[in-house]
Amino acid sequence: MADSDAELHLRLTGERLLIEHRGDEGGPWESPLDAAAHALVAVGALPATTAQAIVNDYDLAQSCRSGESSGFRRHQHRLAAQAAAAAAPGDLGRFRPLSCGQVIGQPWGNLIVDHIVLSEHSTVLHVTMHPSAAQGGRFGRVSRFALGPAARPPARVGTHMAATGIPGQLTLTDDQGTSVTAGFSGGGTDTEWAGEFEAQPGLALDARWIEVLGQRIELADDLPPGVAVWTEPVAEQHPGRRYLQARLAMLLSAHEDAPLDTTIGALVAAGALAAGDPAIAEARAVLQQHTHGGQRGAGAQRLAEPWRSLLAARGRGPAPRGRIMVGAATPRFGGVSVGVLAVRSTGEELTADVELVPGVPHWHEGLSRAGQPMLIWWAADDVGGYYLGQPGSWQSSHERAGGRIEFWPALDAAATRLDIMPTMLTERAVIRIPLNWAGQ
Amino acid sequence: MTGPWWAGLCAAETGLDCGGQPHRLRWAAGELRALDHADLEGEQILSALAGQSFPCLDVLDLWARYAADLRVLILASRGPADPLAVWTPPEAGWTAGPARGRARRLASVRNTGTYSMLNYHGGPAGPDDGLPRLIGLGGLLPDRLAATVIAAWAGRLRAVGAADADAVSAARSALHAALYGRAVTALRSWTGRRDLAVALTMIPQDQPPRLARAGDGIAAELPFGWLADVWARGLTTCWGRFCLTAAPQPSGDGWLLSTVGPDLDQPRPITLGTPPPS
Repeated sequence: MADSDAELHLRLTGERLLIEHRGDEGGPWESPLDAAAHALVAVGALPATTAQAIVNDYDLAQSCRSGESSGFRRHQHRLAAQAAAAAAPGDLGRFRPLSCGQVIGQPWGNLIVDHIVLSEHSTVLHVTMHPSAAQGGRFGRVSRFALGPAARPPARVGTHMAATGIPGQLTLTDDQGTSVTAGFSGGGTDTEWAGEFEAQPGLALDARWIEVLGQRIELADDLPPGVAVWTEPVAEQHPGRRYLQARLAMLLSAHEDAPLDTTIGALVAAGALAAGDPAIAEARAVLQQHTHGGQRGAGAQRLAEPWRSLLAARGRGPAPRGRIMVGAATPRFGGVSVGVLAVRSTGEELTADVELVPGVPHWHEGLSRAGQPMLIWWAADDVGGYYLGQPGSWQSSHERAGGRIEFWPALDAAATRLDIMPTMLTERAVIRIPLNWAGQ
Repeated sequence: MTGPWWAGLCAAETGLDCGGQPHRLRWAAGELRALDHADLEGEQILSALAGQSFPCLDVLDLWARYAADLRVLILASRGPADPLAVWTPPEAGWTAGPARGRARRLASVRNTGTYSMLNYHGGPAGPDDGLPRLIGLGGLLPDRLAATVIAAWAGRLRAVGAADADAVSAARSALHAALYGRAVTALRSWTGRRDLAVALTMIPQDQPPRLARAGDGIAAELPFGWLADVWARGLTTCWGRFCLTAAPQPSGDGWLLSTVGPDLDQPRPITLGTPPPS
């Protein structure tokens, strides 16, 4: 397909959005124009700069009609993001995840330090807090703005309110005499709050102990044996099908009901997929099954893997409970490096704490840039189960990002090994983790 | 068609605050003029030397910059059914005063004959930011700018030579999209069906345009020049019929339209008198 055909397809998509006054109605989080541009760039049908320039102009056209500046601001934001993305990515750097579990009693309740992550750029205490009996076993609520600036790190989810009495920030000290202030972010209920105290820069990476609220926490490295890391090409080699699968996974992981039609239309127009390609029907069937569900397992059994096990396992339980410190980093693949700090399984969900460079936006931002890397968080166990994840709490800058990946469905209790597979369009990393919950 | 491209387009005027004074910009016969700057060239040189910015002069500069820029056709209206809002991009606007930020720029402009020197400074932070301000001028000026761009490209398509072939080829998608948005809007207004499906083929200028049924929708075959000859003049519908072509009478007295009715029958002519001068 000639560039001009792909370009015409994108421009006509923009025209239809304008004249039908649809604006951003294609989805609550993503414009169909963005989706079409991303698909065309990903399959090599259009240069990213060309596609982005067209999208930017239609954003401006939207502002010229609405009289509002949202389109203009998106245009400006994209220009800034383009410039930042062109900068050379940094390194993940060294990090040191440490399990803890120490309980620190306070007048307002208990601070439980679940685990600690020391890295070259920060120190993070992952904590849970419970109110004291003296408070009636319940937290009151205050605006997080009452906690002071240090307690209001940007881009966190669920930080609007904090509980009465709990600290908005902590002073952390290590055995080397370094002292830093860590701000809280997180969320919770009247009876439990969970989140992180983070200091940037942090304490010494090789600290042997730290002190928090007058109590010393010994830092003992306890990473499990047998963790393996490698990278490999994505199995699907056909560019159109590969992109469609990635896009489908992105929609499923975000639990969005946005139609695939814009993506399919762009891929077909670009000649990257034949209109009758079986991958299209399969993708529609997967989305249909996911959106409308039906009885557990019914319908999903007719799908190919990984979709079949993914959709059939919804609602499965009970899952094992526990946390495993991982501390593994991947080499660069598809332009990113990923560090997996810890994996946690509760009765309802499977999560992984991760760091990556360069920064990847939260899925809420959608495909906000035509050449934006698309990172899909797949995982698989050793009993045939697949999992899809999406960022939950998430911090992101152009240079690095990190937070919690929330996978679904819940972990299969029979699994003894978990492969976390951050997947770019053509390449993925595999972080293989033995699941030994004993002692967790 | 023969005759100047602006034939049949009435004059358009808008007001502007220029250094605290209410000034007028007027488009007529294909040219934009700043009516309240008697010695335009002198004022431009003076403003460059004194570091003063005059919004009227900035608009003239931007007009010249974008007079053949196809991005204009993305931002500008697709017709009466696609009104534009009066909108000013954040943290910017037309101001008069000392230049800030970018260095002042002097350039020669030859294509309008209205002025020979111009300056541009201040306000927009990037090379593209002037266009939304130009489109946001209000009144009929944005439509006249679109007509200017359309005429420039229609002329290039009619007289495309080897030297221009690559540029025209590279612009074909943008030209097609500009035609699509305006033709679809016009056809939907004409039929009263907002959801009318339209399959548009952009045909060469020397082929006859036509409309035909395509299922429940319409298959339209139109050249890009339809925008210059018909759409820009506001002649898309006449007496309830859709206009395929419009050309001045050979005698110079009136216009000859080729039109089709709602049943998409054979084209029939309509003759219009010459519009009154403005």
